[in-house]
Amino acid sequence: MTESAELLTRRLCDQIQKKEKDRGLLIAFEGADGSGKTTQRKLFKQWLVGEGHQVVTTKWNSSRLIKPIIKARKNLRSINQEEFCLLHAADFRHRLETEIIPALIEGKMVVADRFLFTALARDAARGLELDWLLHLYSPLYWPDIVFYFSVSPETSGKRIAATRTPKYYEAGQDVTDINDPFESYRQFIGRVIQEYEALAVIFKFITIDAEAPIYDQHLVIRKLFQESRERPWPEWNEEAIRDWANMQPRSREVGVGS
Amino acid sequence: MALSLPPSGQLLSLDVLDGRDAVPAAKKLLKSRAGDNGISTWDASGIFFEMHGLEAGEQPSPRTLLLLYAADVFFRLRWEIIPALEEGKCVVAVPYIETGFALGAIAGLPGKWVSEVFRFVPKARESYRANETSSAKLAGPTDGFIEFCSNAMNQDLRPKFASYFDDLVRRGEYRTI
Repeated sequence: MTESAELLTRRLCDQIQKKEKDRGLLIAFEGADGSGKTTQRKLFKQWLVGEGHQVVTTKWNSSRLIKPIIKARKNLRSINQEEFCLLHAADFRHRLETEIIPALIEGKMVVADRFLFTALARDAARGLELDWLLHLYSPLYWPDIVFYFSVSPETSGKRIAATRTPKYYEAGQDVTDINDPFESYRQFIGRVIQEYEALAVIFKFITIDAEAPIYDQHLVIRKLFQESRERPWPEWNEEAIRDWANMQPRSREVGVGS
Repeated sequence: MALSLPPSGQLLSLDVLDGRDAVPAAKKLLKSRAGDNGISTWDASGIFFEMHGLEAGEQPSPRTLLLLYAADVFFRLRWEIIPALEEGKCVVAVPYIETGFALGAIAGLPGKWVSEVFRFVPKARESYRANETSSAKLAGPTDGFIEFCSNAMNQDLRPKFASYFDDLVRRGEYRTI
């Protein structure tokens, strides 16, 4: 006998809740380019694995299905703000459905190198309406913890300039109309950081001083993570589980990992 | 935030069940219209064609398909539809957003979500559906959006789309050509 989507949703949500602090957590690393979040994400993942967790990493704009399409259009500089946003939302949705939610249901830790807030900050900095963005990305599985790596526009700019020339969309040249990628980046990243700072307040990010020494940041992250583990499962994630359950072939058995 | 259309020209929307019928049906619709005209077809952006060529081993869900469809519609508005309207042409968008709304309804996605995705899309002046008799065999995934979705969702969705369009005709929101 097959299980209805509603029953499947109920069963999965109950099982996740019963696991309490032993459930898989979704931990997002957010911040401007050059804020050092990827370095911290790698250190954190290594530490989690050492602690005996099964860890899945998901990176921004990385789905096998949609990333190549975005990449080709970025190279051609052929997409505008709305298309940029819709394509990234599609990439995110695909990863949420095929990587993130299945891993969480199996009880794994999911470490996201950028999450929804990257889209909100960048697309809002490009002039798109925040409520439209939130609709595009819904229903969302909200992260248990968001580490936000706070850095000044100057530091971000210096760190990027030390290694490479910012790319066209990264520098926001599609919206600034400035030919010099470094100058465009300086202006655009200022707007992105402004959006991030507002989001940090609204969504209660855990702010990390990204200008502190690397290992000090890592120790702070470990400590904050351990303190945050006791948080209950946010029940508003049920909508995302229901949406996911609706897509599953009815004959498939889905269980929560041990 | 719907894009504004220029006062010149006319935008007509047309939905077809078989992607191979898109251009012939649009030409039929334009036959009685005098002056310059144009046709904007699905996947002008090449998103779906490129995705079909990838060996990703995974199929997109209806939500993902709709987001990609919206990106393609935006591309068509920006590069084909609005410039042609500015030149005073009568443009047939085949398909337009009702095909997206139909997929949303078929897949059980909330109507509010689908409306929000297409918030930027301006309304067509008139809307039509082609009076087709479905061929027995479904065309290939790159022939049309309905075929692409049918392939991704592993079922022939034409009867469901037909029923959605029939309903619009019954309600007087669509005319049949």
